[in-house]
Amino acid sequence: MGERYSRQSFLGEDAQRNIRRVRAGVVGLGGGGSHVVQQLAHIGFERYALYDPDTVDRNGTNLNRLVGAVRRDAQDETPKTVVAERVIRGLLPAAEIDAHRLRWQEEPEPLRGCDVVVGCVDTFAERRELEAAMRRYLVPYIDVGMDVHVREGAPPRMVGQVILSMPGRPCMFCLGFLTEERLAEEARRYGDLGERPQVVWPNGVLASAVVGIAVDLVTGWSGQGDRLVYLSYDGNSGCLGPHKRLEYVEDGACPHYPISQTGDPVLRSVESRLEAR
Amino acid sequence: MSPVLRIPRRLYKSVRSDLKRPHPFAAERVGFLSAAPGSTTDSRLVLLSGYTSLPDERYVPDPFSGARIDSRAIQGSLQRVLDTGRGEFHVHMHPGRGMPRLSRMDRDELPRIVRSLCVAGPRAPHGIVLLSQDSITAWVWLPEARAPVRPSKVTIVGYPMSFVFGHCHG
Amino acid sequence: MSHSKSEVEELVACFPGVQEGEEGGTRYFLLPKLELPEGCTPRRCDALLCPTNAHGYPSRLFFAEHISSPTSRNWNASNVRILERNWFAISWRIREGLRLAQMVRAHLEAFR
Repeated sequence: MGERYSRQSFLGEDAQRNIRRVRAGVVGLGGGGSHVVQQLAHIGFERYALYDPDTVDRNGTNLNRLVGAVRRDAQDETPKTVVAERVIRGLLPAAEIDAHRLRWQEEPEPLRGCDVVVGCVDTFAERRELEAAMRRYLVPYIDVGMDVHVREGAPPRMVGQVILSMPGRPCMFCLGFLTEERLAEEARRYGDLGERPQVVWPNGVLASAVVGIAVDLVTGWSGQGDRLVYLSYDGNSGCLGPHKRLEYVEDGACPHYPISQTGDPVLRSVESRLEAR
Repeated sequence: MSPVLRIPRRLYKSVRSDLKRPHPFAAERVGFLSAAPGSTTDSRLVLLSGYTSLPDERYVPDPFSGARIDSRAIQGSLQRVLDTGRGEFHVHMHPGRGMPRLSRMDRDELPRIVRSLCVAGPRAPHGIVLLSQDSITAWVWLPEARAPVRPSKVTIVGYPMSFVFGHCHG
Repeated sequence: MSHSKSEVEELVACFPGVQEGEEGGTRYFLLPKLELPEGCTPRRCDALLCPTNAHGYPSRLFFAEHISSPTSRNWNASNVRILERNWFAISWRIREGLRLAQMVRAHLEAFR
């Protein structure tokens, strides 16, 4: 076991200790989340909180991208949490895995205990909720997603993003990724995404970027220090790089999630406030 | 359940920076960190989210201690507990590196301050945070607890993160 | 967006015990055990008013649980996490420009 991580000793003296001891949360174990879990396990993350209410599709439509799933899982409609756990335990039999076959909102407490959380969710609304919850408990949140826009008379356009939402620093609203317009448009469609195009390789590119950020957060190996992370993926050209918006974002304290609003919410009586004036 | 402490890196740096400032006669500086509670399934979270620096005039000359603060400084901390419902942690820094230890004076005096805070705000965590040149540790009085507990982990939340695991020294 | 003191006073007068909180830059009003229209089950339920366009509607009234009412409604928001609680809401759009208390009443019209 001592040799297993010898090739990643460049990560630093305390790196493997940190990797082993932190807890990683992964919300969404589909095309993106399954990749993330696999890589985290390879690197040696031993503690997990995992969430996904879904199963492998009986008709096998997610076998084109669900890492770790096999044909038998489609026949059995295996829960995605089971697939993820199997992948982790195949590498780390003694891993501590707290798997929830639920939406995270139905049992959110375990996520608060995580040191980093990765969100591989489908909607802007979910992203907003997850970021808000993680900000409250001072948990760095890494958001990832991809989309393929099918256009008439033109090739499809493949895009994606990886965003690090660090407590106290610019959030997804500050970065212009979450907007009222996007949330409103999504609500108008009742959040119905339909059958979105999904393939394995962009998920892999983005998941690898996510894991790279998670490892750097936990080990500091790159020496890059304090930085904003908002990566934009152009799947047509294959390029992944800093989003243009970073040139314009002010890297100050986040006005949407002030550090003073940390912790369990404190609701104030309006009547008392009015009387105090 | 050993608590887990988290502090944003920028706040941590500003606390260190404040505590390093020289004082006209005190050898050490003192401040107060505000703390919000949070619970998870298997531990309690103590989320350090604000800092109150003490002005020079809140110190009392005392040749036997690194720093002695006056009653107004302590009253200020108690008032913040009453006003916000949040916890307060007395914070100071010792010279040297590695896991810091409380001095005998700290062990005698500081729990009294913390117990007053516990009375003022029984539903919040209170305690002591102690820094060295390169480390941090804490003693946490959780709500309804009579004795302090040591955190299982202190996390400085930033890029990169820093972790101090296990605090088994006295 | 801030609301006038008189608007807030009116809200408190109509719905005693109202509390406020903030998350993600959005202000919310919690209405504990809000009385629901005749024919609803339950008759009282905690409700959370979002008076601004933060959830895809000009304003939205969330409930701590599903309400069954004389008129069947489309519950298109389930287990929405706000201020560390889960909330439910129907698809119901009211006009803009209402005062806070009017908003609450207008949202409750959906359940008559």
